[in-house]
Amino acid sequence: MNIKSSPLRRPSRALATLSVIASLVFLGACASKGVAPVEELANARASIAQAESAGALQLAPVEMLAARDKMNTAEAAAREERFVESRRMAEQAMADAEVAERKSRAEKASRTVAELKRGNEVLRQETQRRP
Amino acid sequence: MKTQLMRSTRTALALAVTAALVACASAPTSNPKLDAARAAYDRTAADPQVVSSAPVELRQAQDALAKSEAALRKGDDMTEVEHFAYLARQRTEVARQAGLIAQADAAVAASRAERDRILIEARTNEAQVQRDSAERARLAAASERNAAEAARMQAEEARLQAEASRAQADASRTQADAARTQADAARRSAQEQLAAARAARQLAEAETVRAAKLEAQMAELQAKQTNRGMVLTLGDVLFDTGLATLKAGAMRTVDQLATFLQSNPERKVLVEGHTDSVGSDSLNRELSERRAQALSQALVERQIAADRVQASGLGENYPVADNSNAAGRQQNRRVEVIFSDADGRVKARN
Repeated sequence: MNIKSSPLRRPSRALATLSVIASLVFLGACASKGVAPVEELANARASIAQAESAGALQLAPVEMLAARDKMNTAEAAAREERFVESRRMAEQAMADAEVAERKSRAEKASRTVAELKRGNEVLRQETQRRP
Repeated sequence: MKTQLMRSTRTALALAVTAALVACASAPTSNPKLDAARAAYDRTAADPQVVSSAPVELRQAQDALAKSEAALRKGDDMTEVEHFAYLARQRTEVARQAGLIAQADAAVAASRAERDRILIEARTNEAQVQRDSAERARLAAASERNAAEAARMQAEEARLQAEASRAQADASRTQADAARTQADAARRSAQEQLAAARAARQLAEAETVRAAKLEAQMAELQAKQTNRGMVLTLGDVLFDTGLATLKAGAMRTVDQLATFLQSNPERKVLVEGHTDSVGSDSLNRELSERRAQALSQALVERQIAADRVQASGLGENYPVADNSNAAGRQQNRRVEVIFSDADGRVKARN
C-alpha cells in the first residue's frame, strides 16, 4: 500500500485528528491500563460482608469461597496495577457474593416453609385426636 | 516540517489501523460460555415467578449478557467476553434465587393461613365435642339413675329373698330338730320295742319252757285238764279208811306236788276233799275237810306258803261216780287238787 499515492495524502486536519483519537481509543480499549477500580473493589467488599451476615458461610460455602478468592486476586492485581484484571475480579467477586447471599436467604426461607408445614401437620394431628 | 509531521501521523495512523485491524481481525461468531449464559438467562427469564419477583436482577443479568455479546461482536478479547458472560450467569442465578425466595414467602403466608384454618376448625370441633360430651354426660347421668334404681330394686329383692331363705332355713332347722327328736324317739322306741320284744320273746320262751315243764309236771302228776283248769285227783288209797292221815304211799305224790309248787311259785292250789255218800252229811263234810287239811298241811311242811294252799271239804256233795256201787263209791272218795292259772286264781266251782 502506497500511502504517497492514496487520497489520504491531502486530508483535513480534523479528520486526521479524529482518526488518531479513534485509533488511540481502539488501542486503549485493547491495551490501556486505566485507573484502579476503587468503586468495584468497595462494592465487592460490601457484597461479601452482606452475604456473610446472611449466613452464606454455612449455607453457600462454595460461592463464598469463590467470592473471597476472587476478592483477594482483585486486590493483589490492584496492588500490582493490573487494573483491568482487578476490575474484572472485583466484579466477579461481587456477583459471587450476591449469589451466595440470595442462596442463603432462599435456603432459610425453604427451611421456614418446611418447619411451618411440619408444625401444621402436628397441629392437624393434635386437633383430630381430640374427639 | 509540515510534511514530516504528516508523514509520521500517516504512518502512525496506518500502524494504528493495521494494529486495530490485526487485533480485532479474527472476531469469532460464538463463545461457548456466552452461549451457556444466554441459555441459562432464557430459561430463567421464562419463569413468570422470577419475572414478577426479580425484574431488577433479571435486567442486570440482561445487561451483562448484552455487554458480552457486544464484546464478542466487536472482536474484543475473549477474557472480556467471558468475564461478562460469567457476570451474566451469576446474575441470572441471583434472579432465580430471588424467584425461589418469593415462592417461599408465599408458601410461608399460605402455611400461616393454613395454621389459622386448622385452629379455627379445631375450635369449632371442640365446641361440637363439648356439646356432644355434655349430651353424653346427660345421657350417662340418666342411665346411672336407672341403673341405681334397678340396683336398689335388686337389692330389695335380694333382701326379701334372703329373709325368705332365712325363714326357710329356720323352718328347716326346726324340722330337722323335730325330725332328729323324732328319730331319737323312734330309735329309743325301737330299742325299747326291741328290748321288749326280746324280753317278750324271752318271756315267751320261758313261758313256753315253763308251760312245757308245767305240762310235763302235770303229766307227771297225772293232772287232768278240766273246765276248772288242771286238776289232780288223789284217790282213796292215799288215806286210811275213815281217817285223814296220809299214807306213806301218798308221799311220793305229795313230794311231786310240792316240787311243782316250788318250781311254779305263781301257782296256787285249792285242795277239795270229797267223800262218798255213806255216812252223814256233816261227818262226811268234816272228814273231807280234814283230809283236805292234811294234804295242805303236808304241802306247808314242804315249804309251800300257806296262802298258796287252800283247803276245803265238800263232803258228798260233788260225786263223780255212782254211789250205788263200791267202785263208784271208791271213786267218789277223793281229794281234788285244783291248780290255779298263772295269776294264782282258781276257777270257782260252778
